[in-house]
Amino acid sequence: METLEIHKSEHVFAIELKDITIGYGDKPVLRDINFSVPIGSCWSVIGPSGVGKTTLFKLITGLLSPMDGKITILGLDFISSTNRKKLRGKIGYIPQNLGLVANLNVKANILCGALGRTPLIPSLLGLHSPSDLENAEIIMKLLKIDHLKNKKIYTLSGGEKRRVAIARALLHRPQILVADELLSELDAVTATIAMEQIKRMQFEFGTTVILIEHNVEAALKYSDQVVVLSDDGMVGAFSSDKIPSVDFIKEIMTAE
Amino acid sequence: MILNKSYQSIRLPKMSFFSLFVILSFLTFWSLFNLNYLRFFSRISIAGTLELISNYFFPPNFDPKVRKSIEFALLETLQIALIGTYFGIFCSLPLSILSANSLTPKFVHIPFRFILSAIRTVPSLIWALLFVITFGLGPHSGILAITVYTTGFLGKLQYETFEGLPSDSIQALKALGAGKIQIVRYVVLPESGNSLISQIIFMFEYNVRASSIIGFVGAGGIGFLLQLYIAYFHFSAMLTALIYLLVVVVIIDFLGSKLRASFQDPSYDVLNI
Repeated sequence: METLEIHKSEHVFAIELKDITIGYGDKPVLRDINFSVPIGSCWSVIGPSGVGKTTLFKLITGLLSPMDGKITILGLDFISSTNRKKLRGKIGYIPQNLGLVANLNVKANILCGALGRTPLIPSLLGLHSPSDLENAEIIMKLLKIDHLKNKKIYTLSGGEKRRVAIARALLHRPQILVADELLSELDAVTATIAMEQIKRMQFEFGTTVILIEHNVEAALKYSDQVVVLSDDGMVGAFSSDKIPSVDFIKEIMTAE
Repeated sequence: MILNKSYQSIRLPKMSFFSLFVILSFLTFWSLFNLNYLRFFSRISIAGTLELISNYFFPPNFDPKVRKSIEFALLETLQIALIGTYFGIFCSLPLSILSANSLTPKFVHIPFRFILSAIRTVPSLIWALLFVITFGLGPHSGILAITVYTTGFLGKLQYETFEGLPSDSIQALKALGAGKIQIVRYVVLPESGNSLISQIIFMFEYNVRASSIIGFVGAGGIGFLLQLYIAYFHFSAMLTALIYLLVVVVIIDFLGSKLRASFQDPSYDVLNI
């Protein structure tokens, strides 16, 4: 990850949001959002359903432009379309609907994670580098989906699909990984294994991880810092080890 | 939806189904009277046709020589349809990818759509006529005509399929750093594969019928034979040729629909429970 090293020396923040207002059409969903996520850290965005968590996810992944304010990703102004193109492949994401290719099998879906670094002609012939193939096998074993590798996605259960999407993101090794409701539909054991692997990627490659969650316990357990959203907007960013209890977060989330 | 964006600008004024029906009926009957069409339904012409059929068409001529030439022409028709469909697939696929608004920017897909619709505007019979004039009589002109028409027709079906694909997997692969050609290879083709195969089978069925017509302008196949039988008043042989054609078209349509059904997406039932 040479590119990451260059970026690291230039700036400290992976994501910087300044006075951001986002919404659909001319109707704002979130106003005055301000926070900066340092490179290599793991942050969570939590809040009750309908406060705009997925809207924020769309903003960070470039699927939605802000109505107002400034967003900088890896030191580049993310509103400019040239910079968005430059950053393509560096921001990995796991959307709520996972974005898997239903008619490809599990292994092919996971290997799609390596497309950004595979030369065009071999990738069109379905060829991948030995290291990517080996890594894909290891990740599949860790997430316990190796027995499903030749199965088409549409034959899998919700939890299995989620594991495939996580495996694809792990093989991708992006500089920033944004996951929307990653831990829902996963049993506690699989969630722990998945998060362990994501954490390993965070430490080995300096990946910045953003978890968009409504499960407060999981968010506090895995992240360094939590951004709390309520119906009135952003409440604040809290260091997860300084939060007295889960109830404290639940209270400020629902406070009028 | 991105899909409907281009159609949203063309909007008819809101009207009830009944008023639409009245307007349509009025226009139809006005055209019918305007064309003095009712005279074709006169008793004399119907009786004349029936007399012609009973006197000259029956019994069909199953002479071995006639059968042999019909079988040869019919095989040629099927070959024209097959070759035309085959080459049409290869010509239509790149054009349809370039015409899909979900895959290419406006300045690319608008001109390519125009090319496809321009090809479709000209019927296969006229394409055949143009190629007969340019390259001479024979099945080669028929093959060219069917290839060109298939390109226009299949191209439209394909780009509409591509545009109908859910955008989430395309977006996800973009985020993974995949390029446009990789997205076509890993999302567009696998996700629309079954529809593409169904369309190709449908196109072949359509082309078998089209190939039997284009012979009328000298582009080979059974149409050419039918035209000769009419010109030389061999109506009983023409009836035999029509019976052969009917049997072949019915068999191909039946097999085609069975084959298309087997290519339906297996997840289709699951989604519709």
